[in-house]
Amino acid sequence: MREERLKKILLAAAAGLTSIFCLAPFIYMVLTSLSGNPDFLLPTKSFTLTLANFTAVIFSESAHFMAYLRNSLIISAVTAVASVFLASLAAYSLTRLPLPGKTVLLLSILALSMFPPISLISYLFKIMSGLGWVNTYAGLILPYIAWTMPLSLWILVSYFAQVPMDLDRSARIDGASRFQTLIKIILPVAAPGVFSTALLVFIFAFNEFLFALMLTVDYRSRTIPVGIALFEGIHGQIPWGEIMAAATITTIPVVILTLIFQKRIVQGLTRGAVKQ
Amino acid sequence: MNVTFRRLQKTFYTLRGKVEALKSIDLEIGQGEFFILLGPSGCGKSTTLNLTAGLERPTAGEIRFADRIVSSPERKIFLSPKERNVAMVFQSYALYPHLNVFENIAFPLRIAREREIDEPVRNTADMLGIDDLLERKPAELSGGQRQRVAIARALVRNPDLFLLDEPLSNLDAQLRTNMRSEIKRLQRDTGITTIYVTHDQTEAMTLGDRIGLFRDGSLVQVGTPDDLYNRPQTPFAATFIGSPPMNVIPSEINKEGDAAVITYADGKSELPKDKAWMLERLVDRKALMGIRPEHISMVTTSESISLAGNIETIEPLGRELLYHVRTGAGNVLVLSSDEELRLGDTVHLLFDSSHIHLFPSEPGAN
Repeated sequence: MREERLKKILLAAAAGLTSIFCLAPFIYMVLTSLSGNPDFLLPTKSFTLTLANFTAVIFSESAHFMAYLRNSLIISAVTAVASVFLASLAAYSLTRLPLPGKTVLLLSILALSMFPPISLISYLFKIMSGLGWVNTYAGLILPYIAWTMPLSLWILVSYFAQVPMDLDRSARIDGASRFQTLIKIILPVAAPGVFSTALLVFIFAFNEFLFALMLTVDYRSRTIPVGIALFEGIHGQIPWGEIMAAATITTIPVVILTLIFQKRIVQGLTRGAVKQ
Repeated sequence: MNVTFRRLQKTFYTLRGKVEALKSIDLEIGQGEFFILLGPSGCGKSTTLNLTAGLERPTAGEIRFADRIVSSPERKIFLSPKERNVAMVFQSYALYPHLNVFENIAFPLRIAREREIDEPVRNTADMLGIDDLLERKPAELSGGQRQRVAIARALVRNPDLFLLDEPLSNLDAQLRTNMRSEIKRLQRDTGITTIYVTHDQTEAMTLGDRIGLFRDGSLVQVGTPDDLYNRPQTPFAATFIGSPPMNVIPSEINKEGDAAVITYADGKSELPKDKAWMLERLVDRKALMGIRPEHISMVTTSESISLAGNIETIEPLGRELLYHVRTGAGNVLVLSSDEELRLGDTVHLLFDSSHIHLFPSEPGAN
């Protein structure tokens, strides 16, 4: 019994420490955003509660914060949907069709994702200016899709591989084409994988900084991370309170998305599909 | 609809080399027939079923549904499963886990864009006694219920051909017996030509109008359950069909005056008159003699023609006991209701010569 109790206590302590470790920066961010004196951790300053930072960020025309947020949401959402859709076609072929050299293909895709983005950025900028796509949504969405594709593909391949082949065979007997099988059977059955992939890609695109910095010019396509980084006070000082308020608002969509999809992600993958 | 296979071959090429899954199958299955493909695992029976369904392409040969060629690499014909109007039940059930029972059964109709969906689905569910489960998800069903849903999904669009791949293997014994008689009833009621794959000879014997016995990619014997049980053509067929299996004992045939006598260690039997032709077929008089455990009697006193042995194991089967007897001619299984005998007892076996089967000793020589 004592051992059981000790195990429970240790488990709770470990969980608590992990949560504190992960959440501490987040809590600091929220507190700073609500503070009238952003440097409140200095012993000379005291904490005063205020919403002024939030109102300043949301309602200030010159900060363009709401425009950045909208850009970020649209670009990330389109990237997530497109990346997952294209990757699911590829993952279907890699798990279902008799392709030669599947492993080589998968490994070379993984190798591609190891290029540091900084090495590509100058040439990417040349392409985008040639196309006239600098400071457009497309100018960010296309590189994001390309950049998230290996991630999407690898996650989806592992999920699709777990969907029993008998479901495909059964669907084919029932008259479904390959595309119908993918849309009506495999994607719904692999839904947890599809949603977690989409969420990861969304978060990736939402947080991406380098491409967004180089390929955008102003509020018409600039995304949140760049927007926040370029926040400047009127007198050139760093407005920590407003930056943290903006960052706090920015986490809200991601948190909401995670909460919505959490149930679907946790759900068992193929409960009751086949006898195991 | 009848189904014809002509010189059907399937070869798989894997990293480890070439595998001849089907060597050359010739077979005709009649309209409305319940045909069983029987054999040990890896014998080609499932491959035959997949080729029939259109899930795989043959390497050579031809499959016809009635007069229509559905698969022929020589003529470059290959019809998809959809164009063949076949239905299939899988060993794993292969239910769609995200759809409820109603939508699982309705799936083939929705794919075919049928107008009438509700009525056929409910009728089929009714026929299988799962009409009260339509709202449930597959995860909430028992094994037997899942199997019924799988069968309902197969039958809902009136297929021309009904294919079942080891459908009962995942059920427990009691349920298996129930589902077996139910499948038999359904097949009789619907009259759909049915091909059923199993490795279980009891299922094969009880369900099939005819059985095709496979071994190593070839058809060993095709016939009614009675043919296979009473007139096996090879030692393999003899030992595969029937439980407990037939004894196959190496023996020698010699002429003794007018009659011919089969000798095995110290035991002897007269060669039945209807098997006299065996004499001409034999090379150097060696033969394999088959006899079922129920056609052997055990006595405690030695007779001139009996085969002596010791009882090694006794398995009670309920109504009878199965004795494993070690003799000079190898291990022999004997079914008997005699409960007096004990382990280690010396017994003498007498074979009922009217139930003796003879096979040439080289396998495949007939």
